[in-house]
Amino acid sequence: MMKKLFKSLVCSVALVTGLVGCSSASNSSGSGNSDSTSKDKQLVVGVTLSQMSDPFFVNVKQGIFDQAKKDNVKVVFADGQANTATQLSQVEDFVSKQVDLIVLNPTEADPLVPAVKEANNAGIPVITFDRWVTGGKTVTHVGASAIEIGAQAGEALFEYLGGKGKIAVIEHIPGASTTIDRTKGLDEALKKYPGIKVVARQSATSRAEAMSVMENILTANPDIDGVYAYNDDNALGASDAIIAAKKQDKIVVTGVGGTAPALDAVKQGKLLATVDILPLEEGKLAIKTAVDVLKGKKITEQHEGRTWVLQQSKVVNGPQWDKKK
Amino acid sequence: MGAALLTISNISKRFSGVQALGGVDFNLYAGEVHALVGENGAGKSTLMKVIAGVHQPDTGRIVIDEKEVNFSNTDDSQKAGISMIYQELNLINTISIAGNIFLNREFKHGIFLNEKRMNEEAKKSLDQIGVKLDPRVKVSRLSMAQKQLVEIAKAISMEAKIIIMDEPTSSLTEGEKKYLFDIIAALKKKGVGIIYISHDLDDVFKLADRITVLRDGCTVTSSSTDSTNKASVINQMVGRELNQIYDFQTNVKPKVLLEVDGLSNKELLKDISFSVREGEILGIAGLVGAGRTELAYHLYGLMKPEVGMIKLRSKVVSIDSPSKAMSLGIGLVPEDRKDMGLFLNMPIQTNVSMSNLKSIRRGGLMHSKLERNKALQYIKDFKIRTSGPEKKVVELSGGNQQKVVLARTVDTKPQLLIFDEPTRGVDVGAKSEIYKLMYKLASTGVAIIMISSELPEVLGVCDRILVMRGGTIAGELSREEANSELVMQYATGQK
Amino acid sequence: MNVVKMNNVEIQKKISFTDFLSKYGLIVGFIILFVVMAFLSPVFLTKVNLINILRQVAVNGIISVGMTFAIISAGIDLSVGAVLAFSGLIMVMTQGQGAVVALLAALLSGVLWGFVNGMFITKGKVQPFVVTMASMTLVQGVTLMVSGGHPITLKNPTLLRLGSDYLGPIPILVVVFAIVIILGWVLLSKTSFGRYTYAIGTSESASKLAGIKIDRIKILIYTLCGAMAALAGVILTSRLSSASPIAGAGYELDAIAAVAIGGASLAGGEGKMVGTLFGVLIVGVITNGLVLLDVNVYIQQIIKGIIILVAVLIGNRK
Repeated sequence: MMKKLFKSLVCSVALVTGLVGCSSASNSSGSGNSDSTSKDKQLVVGVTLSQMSDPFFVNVKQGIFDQAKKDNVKVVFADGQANTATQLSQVEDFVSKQVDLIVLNPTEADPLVPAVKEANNAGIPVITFDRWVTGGKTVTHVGASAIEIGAQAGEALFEYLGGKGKIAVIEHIPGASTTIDRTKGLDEALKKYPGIKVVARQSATSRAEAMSVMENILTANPDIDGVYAYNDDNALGASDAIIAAKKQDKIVVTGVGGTAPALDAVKQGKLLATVDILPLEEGKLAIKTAVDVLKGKKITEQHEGRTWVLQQSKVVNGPQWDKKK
Repeated sequence: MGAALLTISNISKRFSGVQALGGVDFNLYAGEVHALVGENGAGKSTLMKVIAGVHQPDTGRIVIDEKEVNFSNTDDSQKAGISMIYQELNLINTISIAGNIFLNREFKHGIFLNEKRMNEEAKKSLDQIGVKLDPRVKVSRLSMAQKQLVEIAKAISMEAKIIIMDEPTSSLTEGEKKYLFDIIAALKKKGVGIIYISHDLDDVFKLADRITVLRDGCTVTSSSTDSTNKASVINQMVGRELNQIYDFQTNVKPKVLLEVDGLSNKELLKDISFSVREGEILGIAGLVGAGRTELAYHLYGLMKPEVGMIKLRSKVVSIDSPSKAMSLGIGLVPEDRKDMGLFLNMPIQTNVSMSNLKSIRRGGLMHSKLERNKALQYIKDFKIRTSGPEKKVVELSGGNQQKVVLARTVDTKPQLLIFDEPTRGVDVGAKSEIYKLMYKLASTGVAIIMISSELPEVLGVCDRILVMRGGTIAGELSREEANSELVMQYATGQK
Repeated sequence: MNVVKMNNVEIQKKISFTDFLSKYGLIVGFIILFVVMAFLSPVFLTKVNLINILRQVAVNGIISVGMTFAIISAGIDLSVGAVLAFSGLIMVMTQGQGAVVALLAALLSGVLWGFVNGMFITKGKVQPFVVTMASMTLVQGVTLMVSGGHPITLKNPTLLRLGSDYLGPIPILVVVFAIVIILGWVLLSKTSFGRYTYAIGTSESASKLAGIKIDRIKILIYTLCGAMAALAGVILTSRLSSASPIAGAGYELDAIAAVAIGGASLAGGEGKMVGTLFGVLIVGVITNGLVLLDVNVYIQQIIKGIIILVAVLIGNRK
């Protein structure tokens, strides 16, 4: 018995190490080759994304590497692991490696200011991506506008409801900047549709939690018409609960993000709509902008009071939308 | 001689009903080594702890430099110039020598430690006893002997007038011992008074100016070294009549149960060979550190021998764990009852059934009624004094706790039962009940090995006695030939 | 004379009150909470909502059953959340082989991780906290790598029914939770394994001397923890109809909180399965009630923290 179990243990360890081997191999090929025989000096861009356990950023990374290959840019990539300290040291590493430019997708706004200043001192340009920092000198911001996306999703939902009805809101991580911006966007949309009433405002940080929260909201407010979820996972969890309660014909749900499961759910009529931030495109835009900056192009586009290369997001809807009142 | 440095008169102390000290007189002069000897439990440590302020006496006076003192803690005694070096050294391994010497009286710059000054001062103290150690070194890197020297340096740095040493040589080699004695001689010259506690009478006679013998918490004699000899000191240490509480019965049967042949393990055990018969009670005497408990651990699978053979009923067995020992029919009632023998926060009934749960199971599940009945039976048979089997063991007295351990062990139906200090901390009444239980078990053919530091008990209960010394069997005595002088002579290396 | 007698009676009353609190405080606390919620929200006492609560606590409840054993043995298992996510992933990845195979593969993957934890704790002699913290990170990493960071959808209809179907009026997953907690109770209080779990948590040295095979018991405990985490993963995955690589985050702390509220001591040797059940229910009722009342999300966290502290305080009265 023991021996058998031990064997399977060894096997699983072998499996794990095998996988690790694979992934590291693919990584090194992805980050471009290091032979510098080509005449043009290959540009090197350091990229740190806040959290690779989030599917959204997995797609962003794909976009970044696709575009980098096209433009012959070498990407030094780091996963911030949702940890500010980790990310701080990653930026420091980029500085000591003397990369040509840093694309920073900060986990939090304030604590990463020193990292930006360090890059400033070393004369390395910094582009913030998707979220910005509150200090230091950055060349430009690249990404979609969370406020605009929040408004887009709200307007889609309210338009579908014909401008009146009761809705529940499921926020994401309390206190996070995206949560705050979505709220601003939602409020903008609510101003345009005064007939919409928010009857419940809760938060969830996972699909499972969103499902539980939605079940409880349904108990307290069985007569709601729609759900505005701050992200796709929460939207899917809410939809799970609504389907389990057999109310999918009465209550519609919108999400934000454009993740694969959410896009599927929209196609199947489980979600009314989601706002696709087009992570692949957003990733590509980051590298395109980086190349522009390094080639000396001046970025002048403005949005929400800052230099901003805006990624347009789009509302994706499916069969549910067609039943619009 | 001038006035005494320290005079103690009529000190007595009781601990929860046990008279530990009953009117002890003792004094110490400057520049003198005064040895304190006695059996385990004679009250030496208690007396020293009273002097050091750890315990407060119930009656009596302590006078230092002609002033009466009342210590409420060790801080007070240290301020009065008393420094105690415990058998289990009191150093903190993870900090430096200097840090230890100035522990709790650090030199500081504002809120910061003044390491430099502490290192310098520590160096001075070490120099005074001619020890060449870097005060910045961590104590964990020192040998036992070096740690002892650090303790002495600490005492010197506190300008102690009185240094108490409790078994300072128990873990030293001959060379280290000689070095320590030189330092003691130097301290004497400086006028420090030293109270020296030791089991080793050779050392005592080499070192001491005077010897005081303590027995049952009272002073027996106090005499100068020149006017006495080892034999009479041993006599005075042991010298009580074997009384009636033992009520000896013999049950030895012809069949040999256990044979141990050439058991050795590093420095702990050296070539141990002996055998035990069914129904026999074999005593193992010896001083602390002679390897008796280690021998028990080897027989119970808690330690593994390097070489040697153990046979049970003529069959060679390998005992690699307590559960194996138990399945072979070996039981151990350990010395450290509270830590190793009992589940203190669990009820009596849970403790009693722990090693034999299958006896209270029906169809794979435990039945609380069966468990309770079993416990009730043992409470009756062993006369365990309690309000009921649900009572937590921690609330019982020492003797009753010991009976609970014994009940748990007996419930596994052992053929060989090892008792390690079975009556330590047990009152006289419970003692004789425990002896009766031993005889009863022996009469059913159970072989018993009893390790004890209490000589009268070994002499009173056992059919045969082995005396251990330094990991070897120093001597074997039949009940008829055994007496306390002889046992002590084997135990201390006189024979 | 009279005064003295009065005093005695009073003292006795006091003692019996604290006794009562330490014995039944948890249940009394639960009842108070329940009644307060029923008064504050008109929908709280509806059948739908009560079943909702049971369904919502099932996942944490199943994990907590394993955690109870670990904590009573003076250990802890921080890897349960990660194992939950891993097992869910394994089930979804093997769903093509049929429901039974997928289910067994998922459970076996949890058993395996638990067994590995147990081996490192006993044979490697490393503290459970450290071992399971390391394996938590490791399993999380493996799960993220295998899934590529994406959630994967569960399509097997049999497995989907596990999370959504009813047995009469009771959801299947609530039935599963009930069976698990009853088996857990039997295992803990009626078998040698349970008794030895308490013994090891009370005193490891005494357990050794009493002939208990400590290593074997500990390996079994952590294997049980892994198995329970895997079962919870199966249920969560079928309830959400997808396996997310980050689904397990935070479940270890929820389970520890439930077990601690239930009166178990993190120092080991104390705890009861009934206590864990009420610990799980208290957490569930609070979460449900606060959402029903649409309490601000920041305030919800404050209230939860306070209630956990109060519950543990009452439980520790001795």
